[in-house]
Amino acid sequence: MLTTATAAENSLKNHPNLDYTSFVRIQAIMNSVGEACTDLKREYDQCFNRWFAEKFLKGDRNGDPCMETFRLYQRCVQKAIKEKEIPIDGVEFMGPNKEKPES
Amino acid sequence: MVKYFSNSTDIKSTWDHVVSAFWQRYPNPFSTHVLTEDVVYREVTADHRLFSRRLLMKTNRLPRWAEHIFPSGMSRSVYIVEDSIVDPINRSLTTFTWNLNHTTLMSVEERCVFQDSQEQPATTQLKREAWISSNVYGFSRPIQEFGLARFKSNQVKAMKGLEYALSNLQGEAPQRPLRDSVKDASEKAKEAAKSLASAAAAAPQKPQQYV
Repeated sequence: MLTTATAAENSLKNHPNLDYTSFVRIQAIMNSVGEACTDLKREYDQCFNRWFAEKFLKGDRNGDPCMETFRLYQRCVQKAIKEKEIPIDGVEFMGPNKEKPES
Repeated sequence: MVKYFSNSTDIKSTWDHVVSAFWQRYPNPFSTHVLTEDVVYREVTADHRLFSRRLLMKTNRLPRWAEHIFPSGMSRSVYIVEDSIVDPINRSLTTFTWNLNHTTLMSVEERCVFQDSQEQPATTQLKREAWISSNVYGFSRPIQEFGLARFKSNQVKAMKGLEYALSNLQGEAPQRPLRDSVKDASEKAKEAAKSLASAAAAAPQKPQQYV
């Protein structure tokens, strides 16, 4: 379901101290698999996209400003995953890739 | 029996833009079958790589003949895992995507590697590989054919979705009717594009269209 960008998103775009604007979309949002988690997801995504373009890609290793918003979001979404019995727990990172030949 | 598929395409955007757009490509007009998107794991490693896992839920669109074969109680939702590694020092993004459920019916695994093009400036090369298999007794061949056809169709949508996200990276007005074509968006992006201090010297060009 598409929703409109909020005033908060627009003020991010016009912030005088942030030059990441060509890397971050002002965009409609996706739903989380946990219906109650969509707002937390959006907050985290906004923080991440800014940090990713402005810090991570530029090699800045100084901390992660999104830790707290990530924690809140994860608490919500992990609960939804358990409730819906989505079989993702214990699935190894890049698991199936291990048996594939290098391209 | 596994069907293998691979190809290589050029995306006329810098690697930095492509990787940023990768996280922001949903929703887009070509992804109406993707219902939910969640980051469920993320970590920056000691060697400054970003490991992430995204969980996607998609609708499961089967052809009529397949719907008759499978129990009507079968979930209409497919859960997809997308694991990825961003290496900003070597400038590569590697993703591995596969479905968590409906694996007896069909297993689709895809690996993508995004890197700077060796030949063209301000261009990103995408190498993709896919492995498609089905374990349904007696039907695995038609199901694999269907799976490959749907996979190719989804690849086209995925590329259109990524191009759409790239063309919108200049922070355009948030409301876009779903009918707007990708071409329209990229014409506007071309006018509005500004070069970045860290980008390659070549000015951004109109994104390549994939039909």
